[in-house]
Amino acid sequence: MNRMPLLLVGIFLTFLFSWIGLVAMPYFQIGRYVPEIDDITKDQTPPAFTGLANQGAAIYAANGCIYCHSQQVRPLEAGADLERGWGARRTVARDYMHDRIAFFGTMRTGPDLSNIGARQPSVEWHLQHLYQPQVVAPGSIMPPFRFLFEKRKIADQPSADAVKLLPPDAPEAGYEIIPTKDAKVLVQYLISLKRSTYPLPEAPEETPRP
Amino acid sequence: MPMDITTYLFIASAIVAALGLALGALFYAARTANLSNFEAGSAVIFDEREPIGQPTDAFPGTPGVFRSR
Amino acid sequence: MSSAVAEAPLPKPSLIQSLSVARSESVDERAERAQIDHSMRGPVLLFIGAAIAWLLIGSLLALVAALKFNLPNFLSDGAWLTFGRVRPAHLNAVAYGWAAQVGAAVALWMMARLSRVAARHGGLLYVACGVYNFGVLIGIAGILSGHSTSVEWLEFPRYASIVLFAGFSLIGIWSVIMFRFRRTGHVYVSMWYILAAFVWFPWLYASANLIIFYLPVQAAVQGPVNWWYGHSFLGLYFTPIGLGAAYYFIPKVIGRPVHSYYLSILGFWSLALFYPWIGMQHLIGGPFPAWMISVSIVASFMMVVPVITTSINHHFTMKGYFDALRWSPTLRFVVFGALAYTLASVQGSLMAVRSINEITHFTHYTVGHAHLGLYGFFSMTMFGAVYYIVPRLVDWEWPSSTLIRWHFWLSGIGVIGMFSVLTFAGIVQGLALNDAKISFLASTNFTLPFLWLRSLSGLAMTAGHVAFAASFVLVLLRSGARQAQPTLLGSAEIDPTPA
Repeated sequence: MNRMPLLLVGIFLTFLFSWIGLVAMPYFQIGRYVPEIDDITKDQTPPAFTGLANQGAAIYAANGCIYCHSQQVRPLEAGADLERGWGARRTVARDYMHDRIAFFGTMRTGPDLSNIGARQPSVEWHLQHLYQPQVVAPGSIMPPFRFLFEKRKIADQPSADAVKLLPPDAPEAGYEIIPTKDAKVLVQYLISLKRSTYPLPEAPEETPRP
Repeated sequence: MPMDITTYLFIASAIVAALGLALGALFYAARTANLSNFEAGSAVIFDEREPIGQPTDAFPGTPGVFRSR
Repeated sequence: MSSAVAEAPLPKPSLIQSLSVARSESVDERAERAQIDHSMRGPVLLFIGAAIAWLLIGSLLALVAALKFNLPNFLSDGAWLTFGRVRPAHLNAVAYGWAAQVGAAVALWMMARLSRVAARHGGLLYVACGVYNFGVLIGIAGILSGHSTSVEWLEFPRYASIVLFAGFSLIGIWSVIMFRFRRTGHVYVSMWYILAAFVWFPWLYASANLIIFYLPVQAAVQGPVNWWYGHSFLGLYFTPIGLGAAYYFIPKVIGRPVHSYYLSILGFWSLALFYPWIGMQHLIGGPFPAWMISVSIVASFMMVVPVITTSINHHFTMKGYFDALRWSPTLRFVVFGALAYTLASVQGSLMAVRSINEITHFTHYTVGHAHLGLYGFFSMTMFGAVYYIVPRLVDWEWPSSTLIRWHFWLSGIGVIGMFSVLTFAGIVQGLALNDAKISFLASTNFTLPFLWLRSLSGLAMTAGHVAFAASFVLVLLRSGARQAQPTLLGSAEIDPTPA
């Protein structure tokens, strides 16, 4: 094999073929969704993210939540995702149409977050959890995200949005823990994650094995 | 989203084009004698100075191994 | 002819002039090989040196990330060193800073040798090295300072990926120039692999970055594109360069041609045909049409063809020469790499089977597989190549066999240990995850004792890297006494630029 054209044609061709298959074809098939809008209520399906939630997605990306948390629910025949209550059905491509970056994830050191907004709708829970995970999830090995919070001296009276903490995690007397904007938008993103809590034509709700 | 007829045409023409190019390349290879005498090619990394049978690497300070072969 | 070489007097430093060759044809050949090596000295040493620096940085980041599993509060106060930033920083430092870069260095050196002409436009490579490393540097700094994209294997922010791409394109351009002006004759199989890798990687990298970041498509398409890139980076860049190196160094070190050249051609084309389709098996059960995932599963399994072909070939080339492992450092590392390649590839094919993937998906098992492939196979092969190349570039023998032996055993035992504990931990974790009666927390806690052992293995590997870096610095400083008969067999004794 001494001919450069021959070698290069082969190298190009084999690769081009896969490019068509795994880049171009997915674009044609699952890259052109439009939301369905209800005639009466004007609600979108799937629902779009709010501006704050979108900012929170950027914080999610910046701090690498994806390395421990997936955002995909597998169907009944693959894994125990539904039995664990991580969704009412598997997730499908349409569920991600509003995401700027899709955090599918490949690791579950922590639980799946596709529907964390439905499981844990409480802002306070999420703030406590981010500040010191073991407060609300004893035994968790999630690291604390204290850099998303500020410790402030209480001026006149405690702030309304201070994180409620008990010793030993509470700050010393006269101080309070205030979430930064990053923490607030991240929690907004988390509580808006309700990807597969309702049926879709291509993905009906599934009942877990008994 | 179901695939429409354009998509299928796209796939079909891609397959035909790829097959055609592959056959063309094979034909060209056969004609230019690229498919004959394979095994001779494996010797091009050897020459008079580093011939076949001559090891070219050893731990530092173990010169004997070269002569042992 | 070979006996004439064996009986030639050992070259000594004082004999440099007297060896002045010119009359003997065989010595002309030798001078030429040395000339080629010398023409590559600056660029290749620069690439290798920068790669080793990133290897050390990447190892340190790995240790920090690994310890955080067992000590969640360790270094957790600053945003810079939170787990979700250190882990991608580790991956990118070792993948782009170390592995891709040392791969480029070895490939460039082989490119020059196999083209059988002295390097031209070496200045281009200095620029390429500078640009590339600047890209990696701002990429790692970007990840640590919170600009990571969180798209696995593509975490570098846009401002870094474009620099990295520019740097790599220069490397590719240089190789194509070399290939064009090569001396005519047969194109050796290693060269096909290198040429293919240098065509595939920029294409892959540009496609994936364009589609996900610069001209973003809907997020669902990112899954296929992300993993098409992620796995093809391994299969269409690291694998060809690693195999290209194995196809060069194993025959070259033992002095015996490849067992079956025919098989090597079959191996190359079957890899080119099947590997680009691999990737979607990382998303089995994910929100994608079934055909996309199935096509990758089929391709993963078809990879058995090139893998078995290559393994048989390397095994039969080595057959009868296994005692050479005792005396050649290069061969040790490269053969270790070739064995790990077979193991990692067969494992990879099995991992794509749905029933097995159901257990191993989302667990440490995948991490173990990644280390077997990128470290056990690729990095070990590159270590071997560096041990062969550097003495020929600096005209100096490695100063210490002991350091090399320590490096080999620490890295080898380290990666075997890491692979074993992560595999076991992953299986336990996966079985627990699939049993909804076991709490999720328990599925993580099962792995914790193994993760201590993982950190320990990582520590061994890091120590090996320190030995490696020490060897490299010492040989650059020309430490120790000049050996009477260096591994280079005197080829570097020839003045590359005769007056």
